[in-house]
Amino acid sequence: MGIEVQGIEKTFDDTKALKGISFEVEEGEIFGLLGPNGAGKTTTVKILATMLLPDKGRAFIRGSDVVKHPKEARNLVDVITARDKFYRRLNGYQNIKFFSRLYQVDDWKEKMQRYGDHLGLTESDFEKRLADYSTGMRQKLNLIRNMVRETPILFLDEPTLGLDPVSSRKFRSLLKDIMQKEDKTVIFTSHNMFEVEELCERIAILKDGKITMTGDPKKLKNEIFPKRMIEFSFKDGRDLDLESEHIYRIEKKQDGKTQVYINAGDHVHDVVQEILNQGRVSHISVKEPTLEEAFIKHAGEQEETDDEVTSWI
Amino acid sequence: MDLKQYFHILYAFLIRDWQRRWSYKLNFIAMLMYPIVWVSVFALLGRTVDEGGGMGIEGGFATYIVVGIITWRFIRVGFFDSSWSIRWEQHIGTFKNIYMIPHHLLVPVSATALSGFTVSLLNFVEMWLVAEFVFGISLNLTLPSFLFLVLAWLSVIGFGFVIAGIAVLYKEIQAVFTVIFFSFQFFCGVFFPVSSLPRAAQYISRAIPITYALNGMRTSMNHGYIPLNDVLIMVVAGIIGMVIGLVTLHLCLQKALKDGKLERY
Ligand SMILES: Nc1ncnc2c1ncn2[C@@H]1O[C@H](COP(=O)(O)OP(=O)(O)OP(=O)(O)O)[C@@H](O)[C@H]1O
Ligand SMILES: [Mg+2]
Repeated sequence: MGIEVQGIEKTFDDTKALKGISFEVEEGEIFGLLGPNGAGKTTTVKILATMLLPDKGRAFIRGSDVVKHPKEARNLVDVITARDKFYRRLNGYQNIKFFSRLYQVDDWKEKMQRYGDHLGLTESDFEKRLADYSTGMRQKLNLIRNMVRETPILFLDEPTLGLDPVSSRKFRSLLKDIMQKEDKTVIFTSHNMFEVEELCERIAILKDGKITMTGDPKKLKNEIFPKRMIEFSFKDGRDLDLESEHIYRIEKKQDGKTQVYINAGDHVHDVVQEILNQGRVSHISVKEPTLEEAFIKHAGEQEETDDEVTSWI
Repeated sequence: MDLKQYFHILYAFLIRDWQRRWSYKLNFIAMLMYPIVWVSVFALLGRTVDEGGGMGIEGGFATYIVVGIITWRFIRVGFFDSSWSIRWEQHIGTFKNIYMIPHHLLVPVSATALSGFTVSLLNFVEMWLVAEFVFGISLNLTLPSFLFLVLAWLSVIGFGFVIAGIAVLYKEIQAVFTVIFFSFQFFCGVFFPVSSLPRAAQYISRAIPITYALNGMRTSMNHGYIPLNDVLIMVVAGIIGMVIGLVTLHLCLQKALKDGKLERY
């Protein structure tokens, strides 16, 4: 098991930041931690990275207890956050060389150039002082610092904060590449749902210091928004002749479009297939909520109404 | 961790710190010039006093004050380097990446102090050369007296760790201790003999190990030997300081780990 968390609790003064959370992350898995501001994501990451002691509960990194054997845990773990800095007066090479010496890595330069190519940092960028780096450049260098170190376990706490869309996409694609090639175990927190959906194989939603849901992003979306809508129109304007236990409403609109309200799941595909079989269709679409919409709904704790499905269309 | 690993890390800090210093070219020059100016000012002041009849100080006031400031500076830098390291990394945002190496925090903290030692050493050599060859003020420097100076440096490192630990929990402590440490130069006989202080103040002087460091250096200069008494006090102060320092640092880091004050990213 890559990471095991068992009943962790943490209180700061009078804030109960974590109220007993448990989860497991398999070796090689990318695990997303989602939740509104103040939910306890960073607190969880800090405890796992031995930067904070839990009040109760235990956590293990590849079997090493983070409280009892923090050095063993630190040997396996690295953390990337958007707030990480370097020595401003030193250039990129000098900074990475310093950390490589601490990590006792010799082939740092070769790795630096390899990952630099991937992320779009050139040799002349590496020769610039960190004071002259943009936020994105600094964050890329931070990722390179981690890649040079090559820990099997990586915590990314909102790593793309402050990156422009193109940069965060590059950042993500490098991450994905590395995860696949190097089989890293990753805990990822982010407020960018798109990012989470793209990167994470499994996610947990934290709310007020408790995990309220775990599972793969698709499954969670279906749990939060258990309905889908298929909209289509037949060229000859005929009516749909279909019965299924998953369909709970069919509506024919004035403009000839038909809306089929259906429970989420694999059978959505079957229904679409059936519609296509029944006649020539001029247009058809399936409305899927994004993880973001699911998240907002879940965070908002609203009661679901029958018409809820339209709120995200 | 073995010694080889430690030297590897120490080397990393040395290179980093000298690269940083060198990157501020004007600061670098100032860093080299400052001790020269400093020693010159006091050598000239001492000479003027001596020419006007002196203060009845053994070996003359010029020598007295030059030895005083050279020794003081050497010790002071050691104290500040060891007390400031953690706070500084926290402040600039590099602490986490230093902390995440699989070693105790004492490794980077002591490496920072040792890296600062090289600056102390450089400044010491400069001041010594200027005093000796420009102003003809001989420190009668011997290997034992130099080792005694290093011992004095070591004796304040532990107290530096006390501040390093407290500073993790209370940022402001640094400012308070800067003032307290600054006041030591009046109590310890840097510029004038302890005997010229009011009687009550002399008790404070005797409680500060630096007083004995200065006394040892001066005796060595005037008489060619270091009083055993001063050596013993340095050793005992060093050990006590180190024990208190390590315990305080440990307790403060433990508390910071609980309160979430160790790393606030
Ligand atoms: N060192 C600390 N001292 C006091 N309270 C703290 C400390 N660290 C975190 N907290 C509190 O614990 C709660 C959880 O904070 P945490 O940083 O884990 O949230 P988060 O999920 O990472 O939020 P965000 O999305 O805003 O980063 C918050 O109420 C926060 O104020
Ligand atoms: Mg956070």
